[in-house]
Amino acid sequence: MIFAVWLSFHQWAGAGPMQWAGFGNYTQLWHSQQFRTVVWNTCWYVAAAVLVVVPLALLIASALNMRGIRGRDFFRLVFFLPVVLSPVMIALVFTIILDKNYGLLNAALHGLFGMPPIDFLGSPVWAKISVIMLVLWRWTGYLVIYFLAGLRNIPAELYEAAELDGARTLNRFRHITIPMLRPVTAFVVITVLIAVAQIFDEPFILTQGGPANASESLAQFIYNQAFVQQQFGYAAAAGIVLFVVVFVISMMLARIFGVGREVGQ
Amino acid sequence: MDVSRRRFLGYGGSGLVIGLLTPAVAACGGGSSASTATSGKVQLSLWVQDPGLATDLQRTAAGQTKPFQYHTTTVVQDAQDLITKALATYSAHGQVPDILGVDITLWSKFMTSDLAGAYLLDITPHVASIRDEFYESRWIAYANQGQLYGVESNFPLTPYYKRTDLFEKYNVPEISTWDEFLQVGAATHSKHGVYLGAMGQTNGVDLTWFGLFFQQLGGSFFTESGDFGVDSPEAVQALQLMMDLVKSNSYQLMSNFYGGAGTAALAQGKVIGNYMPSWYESIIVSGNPNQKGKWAITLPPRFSTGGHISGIWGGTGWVVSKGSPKSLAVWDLLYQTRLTLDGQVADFKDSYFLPTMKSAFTDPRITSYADPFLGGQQTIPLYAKIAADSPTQYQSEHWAAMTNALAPEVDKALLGEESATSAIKNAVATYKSNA
Repeated sequence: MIFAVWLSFHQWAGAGPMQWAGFGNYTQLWHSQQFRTVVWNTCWYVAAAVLVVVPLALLIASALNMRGIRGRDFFRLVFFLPVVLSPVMIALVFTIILDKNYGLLNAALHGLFGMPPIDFLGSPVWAKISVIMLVLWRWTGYLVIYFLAGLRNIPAELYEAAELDGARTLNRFRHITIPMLRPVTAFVVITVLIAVAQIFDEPFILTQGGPANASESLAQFIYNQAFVQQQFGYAAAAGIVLFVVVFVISMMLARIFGVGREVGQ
Repeated sequence: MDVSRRRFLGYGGSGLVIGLLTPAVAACGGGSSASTATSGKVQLSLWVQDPGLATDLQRTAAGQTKPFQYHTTTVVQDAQDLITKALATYSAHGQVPDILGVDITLWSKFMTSDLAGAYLLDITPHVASIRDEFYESRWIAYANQGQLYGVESNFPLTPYYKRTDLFEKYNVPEISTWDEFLQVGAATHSKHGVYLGAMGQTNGVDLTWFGLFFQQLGGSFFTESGDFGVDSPEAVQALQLMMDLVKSNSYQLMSNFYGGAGTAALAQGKVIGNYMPSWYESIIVSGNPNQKGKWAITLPPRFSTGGHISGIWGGTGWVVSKGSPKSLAVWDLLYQTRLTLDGQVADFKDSYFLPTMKSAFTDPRITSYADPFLGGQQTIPLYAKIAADSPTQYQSEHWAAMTNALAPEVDKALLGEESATSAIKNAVATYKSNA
């Protein structure tokens, strides 16, 4: 970390001598249109992860936790499978599924609804949406596991008492499940936020950040600046910015969720 | 002029020993001494992005017993990662590769701060007597500050590939210019729903198609003196042609050219031709081996405004790490493989790597070769014409900055978001602010 901060004030090609650059790298970032684009893209990914993936994972976990569900372990396995699959395999499969001209999804949409082909990977808007779909697919099952563990720890008598008092399913979910899952939710939200703010795999394997940087993430930008452009100082400066932003937002969320505070404080 | 190995070892080799010993000894100033191996068993590490590229060096190594007996270990990694890893090991004085394959678009990394001069063997004096026997453009591709460092593994000359059976079926006529190509392509697509070519989006890194058209037109990303060359009418014209090709449905635009989509397009006979470098044949073969005998190559269409017979894109230069006691052995292996007529012939026959040595293009062992995948076509006479007029790709340490500025603008133009003129103008502005 100290080296990264030191590096961010230098120009360095990865080998050879470093040159002092002062705040030059940070100034360059501030003026860079590409940096603004990748920050904006990353915000989209984080927003989608926190506002779509987390609630969806909670809903699926709640459904899997219901009494009388058959094949619960099978569904858990199915939802968790994307996490353990190789990114190379995912890339291969998803690029085939999402291709505009030869993709299975477009073929299905055309066959079922007569829709014209959608350029999922080649259009700036759809490329971002495709990355979000991949995030959804890869992360939801992973988070379901955490929520399931949290749900199992909620005492059954709370639900029984609420049921005796006439509380309906939605009210039980709202007044028992959500408050009791608060520590797990805090953990999940902060974990997802930190992970997705550094998202690299999904845009890299699906679109390589294209077209025209439309789906490039901040982590990809840092990778490209360091290992493609050989501007290690500039990349370090972007990395420091990412760290500071993620750290501050995580701390804010931790406060909002009351992480580390005793109940009743 | 044939270059004999004896002559090399006698003249160049002895000079090389002296040349290598100096930095080796200087580098070991701490007390340990390294002596350059001149014969015997040698263990070599070979780093490359494509195992296919290493086969020729491995073949030479396996067949040679004097003066060196080689045992090679090969490290295969993505081209980008390979260079990053190599630079890290050079910087940290770790286990550096004895021979490193450098993708031509990544050579600029060694130009930065003259890392080439610091870490790689300067082969300029060692090839001085044979330099003219090879196409100069392939030496220039791996040079820095006037010194040569790399030996080209393959001459990526660019023909037009076509499916002969489908061209006949759809009555596609002979095409001599890109203007004609646009008309014929549009008509063929409108009648039969097929494309005469395909190109991929750059996704921020891949300038293959722009590079082919731009360099065919006589444009150059960088001039001989290293100045930025994209700010030119040729760049606008090349990009405009790409846009027209896509818009007219002569070409299909793909987001995943080298993946499933590209393979499917060929397999389904939707894309029935392509203007691509010689290495494209291996891509067709690996994805669609059942199309053996159905393909042929021709000279590509020309620009009516002038330029070269064809463009060029790709290449991997073999470079040798500097200061190693094994450098003489490494250089001898490289020399036997790529800098002798026999080596070039063997490379072509075994791996279909096109020669860079001028006389190889008239060697009967090569000229008589009939490519089975291309229906027994004798391709070398055609490649010889292209080679004689091949563009030179001048390098710059700002290559990555150029790619970073240009690639997104090419994508935007192909998506119809910008005109060719404004895309090039924006790319130039971005480059100037970043480089």
